[in-house]
Amino acid sequence: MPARPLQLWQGLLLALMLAATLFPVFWLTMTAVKPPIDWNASPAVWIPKEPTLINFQTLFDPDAIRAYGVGGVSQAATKAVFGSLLASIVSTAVSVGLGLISAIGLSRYSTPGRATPLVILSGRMFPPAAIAVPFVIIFSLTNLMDTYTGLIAVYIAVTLPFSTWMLKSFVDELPREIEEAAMLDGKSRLRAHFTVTVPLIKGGLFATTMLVFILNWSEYMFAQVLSNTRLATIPVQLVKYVTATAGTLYGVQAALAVAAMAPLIAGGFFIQSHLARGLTFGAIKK
Amino acid sequence: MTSALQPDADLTPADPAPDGRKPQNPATEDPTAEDPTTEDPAGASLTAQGPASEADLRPAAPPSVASRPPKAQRKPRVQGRFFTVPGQIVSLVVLIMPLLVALYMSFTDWSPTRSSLRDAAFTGLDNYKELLVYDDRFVEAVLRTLFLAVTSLSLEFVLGLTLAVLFLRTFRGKRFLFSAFLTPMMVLPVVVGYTFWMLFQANGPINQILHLIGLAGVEWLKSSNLAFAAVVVTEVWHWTPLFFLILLSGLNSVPENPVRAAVILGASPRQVFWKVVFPMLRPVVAVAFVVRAMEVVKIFDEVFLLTRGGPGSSTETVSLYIYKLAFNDFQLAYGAAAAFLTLTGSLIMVHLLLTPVRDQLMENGR
Amino acid sequence: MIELVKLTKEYPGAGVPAVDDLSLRVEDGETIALLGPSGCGKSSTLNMIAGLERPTSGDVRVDGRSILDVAIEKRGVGLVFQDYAVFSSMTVRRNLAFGLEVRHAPKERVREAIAKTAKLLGLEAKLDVKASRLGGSELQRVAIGRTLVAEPSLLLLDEPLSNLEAEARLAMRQELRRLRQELGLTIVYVTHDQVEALSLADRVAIMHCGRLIETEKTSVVVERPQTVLVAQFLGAPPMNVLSGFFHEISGRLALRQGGADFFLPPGRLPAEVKLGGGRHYFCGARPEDLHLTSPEKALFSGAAAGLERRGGDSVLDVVSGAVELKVVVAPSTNLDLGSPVHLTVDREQIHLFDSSGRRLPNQLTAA
Repeated sequence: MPARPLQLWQGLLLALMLAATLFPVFWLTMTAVKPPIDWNASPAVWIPKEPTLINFQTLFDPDAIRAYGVGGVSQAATKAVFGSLLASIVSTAVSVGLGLISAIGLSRYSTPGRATPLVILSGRMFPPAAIAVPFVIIFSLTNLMDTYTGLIAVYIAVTLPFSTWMLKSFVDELPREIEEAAMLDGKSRLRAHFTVTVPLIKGGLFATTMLVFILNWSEYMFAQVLSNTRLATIPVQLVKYVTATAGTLYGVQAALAVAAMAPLIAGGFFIQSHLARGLTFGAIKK
Repeated sequence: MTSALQPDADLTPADPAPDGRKPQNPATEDPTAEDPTTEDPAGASLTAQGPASEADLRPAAPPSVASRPPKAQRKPRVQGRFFTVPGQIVSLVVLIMPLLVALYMSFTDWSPTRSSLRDAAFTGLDNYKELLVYDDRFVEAVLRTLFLAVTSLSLEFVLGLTLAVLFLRTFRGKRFLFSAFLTPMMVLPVVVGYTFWMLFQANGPINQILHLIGLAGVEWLKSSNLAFAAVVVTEVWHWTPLFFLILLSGLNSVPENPVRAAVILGASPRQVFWKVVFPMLRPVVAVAFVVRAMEVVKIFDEVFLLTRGGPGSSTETVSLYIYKLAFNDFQLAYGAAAAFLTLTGSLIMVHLLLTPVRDQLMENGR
Repeated sequence: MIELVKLTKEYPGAGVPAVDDLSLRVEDGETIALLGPSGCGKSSTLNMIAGLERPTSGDVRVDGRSILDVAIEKRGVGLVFQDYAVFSSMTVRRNLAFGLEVRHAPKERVREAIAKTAKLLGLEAKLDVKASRLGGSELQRVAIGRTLVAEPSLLLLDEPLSNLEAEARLAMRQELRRLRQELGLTIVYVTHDQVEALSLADRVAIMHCGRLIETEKTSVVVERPQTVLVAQFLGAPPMNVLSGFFHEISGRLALRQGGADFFLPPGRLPAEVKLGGGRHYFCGARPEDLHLTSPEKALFSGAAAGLERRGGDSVLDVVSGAVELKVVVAPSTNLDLGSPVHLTVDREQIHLFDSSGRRLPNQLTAA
């Protein structure tokens, strides 16, 4: 039966929900371009009359904001940005790479039982604070506290089950015959996997990479408890800004938040069609 | 299911690199060479991914013993086992080991300020008993987390379903709006927490809007109930899109003919939806609830930035309490016990949520 | 009585209409089969009758009155889907009751109707079984029963048997025949399977590319197909149809196609048939009607090009030049590939069609 058009009240409801959905993002973005005088004005300023990029500039040059007579930004966010990039990219690459090999192994050579998804789920279910505790202990003993190596290892560990399971759901959808045909052409099984299987799940591989990147990029607690002076990521830096100044540096904080959020919103747009699968561990396929 | 997280005796000694450094990747070795792990029955028990899933997956002996496949078929199997080895080693070293350490810890009275873990006294189930019997703050945090899950999940479900049903109709710019409605999920939890902290300030925009419609503004984050409401609103904003996404995908895959049949038989649109369409959505709904319920148990960043669990402990969830135990009060052993209790509870909850739809779900998954 | 009047359905974007200018009358108590290959517009036609789709033009009338603006549920039409579309989350009982319950029929009546329908379809023992646990033919019964409970004046069946196993299909076919007789239902039945159509329907309406090409009593349609399309559609294998011009070779009539001649049995062509090149006709003979014969009696000679054994009989391919004929032969027939075959056919078994593919009103007659 053909879909019917929206009725007026339904259109209004949709508009209202859209407004509610976009408002926080709008507010954050506006705050990021507010000059200090608008930061905490009463009543709150919705759209600044004189929008400025000074807050973004301050992220990399803490003294820039002094021109507005505001002090208190003691630290540039540069290190955090690079830290986030380093930790997220390396851990995502390793997690997806290992996940891909395991996914092919699981999908093609073994027969996991019905309970496997639940096992994966339970790995994702463990309160992160509790996983953090043993990590802190082990890392203290092995001098990995406050190092990127340690953080990356944690990120790989917590995302590996996820990337494996998601990639497996993509490999499962390919008929085995595809690889067998390539093997008849004289390729070894191993080569068949990497020259035939992998290109066919390109889309899934990209989506998995993106989702794992989002998970790593967004992570706060592990980075917080493992970091001291050497290690920094954007979420940790953001919380530092908030706590160090009792939250009064609205504009600078918002600028960092926007900088952290923008790539994820852009990246998320490209993997929309795989989002449901990724977020439900493959239980829902499209 | 709980067996999945219990220590597996033959897993621990296999650990080759306890220093946590990235293990060597055996995939680079010559695949034709006889890899000792592939002939080793202990190696065979390592075929699955994730935390100690082996017990569930391979209750019987390795397959080569049960029924010896022809030689031609055996080789790929051996090689396949070898495919999953790197992932397993990594999981073992960086996930399972720490979890086992934490599990052991939870049975001791260890505190980093007093002694090393090796010297800690084994106290059996004392920590667990303390948590369940005497620790009101823990029990309250559990109940609060459950209440948070119930309220925010029901709201997310209702709003997500409404939105998904609206998206069954035709309107201009649907594609764009679909993307727009998914935006909140992409936002980092810390950013969400920070943004809503701004929005809920006394001189923030939410109070401004309330003034506009003639209501008095309130100090959202300074009263227990209102702060909890703020947490709910934040969660609902952040994750309604997930329900929307899952339910819309479910609605779109509902077969057309039963709906048509119901219409021909005289059912009204409402009857069609509730009697025919909705029952078919049940597995999808269950999945959405399970995934979200798990996230609520883990919720930390948003609440940490929004209220830090306060005022008092009025918004302190299990995850926040465990964090405070471990990293503010350094009661690591006790915190670990709390974590394992929480995990056990979560597993039971997930099991209960999935039981009624398991068959339907497995059918769809095929 | 239901009438389809110049029914046309065009889907946006599709070049050709899915249903094109279709007119058909179905009398009360009659079973009519819409027969045709998949994608020929049969299901669209059913959907338009049921009201699931609106025709682009044309009309659907019941007892002379248009029902296009009558709401779906008020049309008194029941539709059984190919995939049954049974409500899988409900028990059989709930499924059967659905049509009455959504209309808030009194409980007593619902109970009676369920009991009656369950008995009619042999579903009594399954009433409290969940539909998701039923097998194919049981689902089919539930789907039919669910429709019958609402007491439709017209029953539409969309490929009701094609998802069933061969054995269940046979049983269900009998079942449908029995229901039809017991209930005196008016049925429009869509199928691509001619055996089904021929065994169940009073009349067969054959569709091709959205058009109705022939409507005929079941008993007649096979024996005297009115068009080449129907001739080439019905039967397994379908009729051999040659196209070419008639000419005379030393007093004998022959049809020439692509350089090969097919001699007609002795007889006279109808007066309107002209001989000679440029005048184009079709000439057909069923594979069952062609017989092997001796070289001197042969009307057509060729070489054996293949033999398909079907159990009860075999189908032989005979080729000569561009002409290929299929012949049903006795199962014992044994021929080497390439060995010569000589064929003959009776005069009454020759079907003549004009250049547009219509059956000629007069056929080959005795000389």
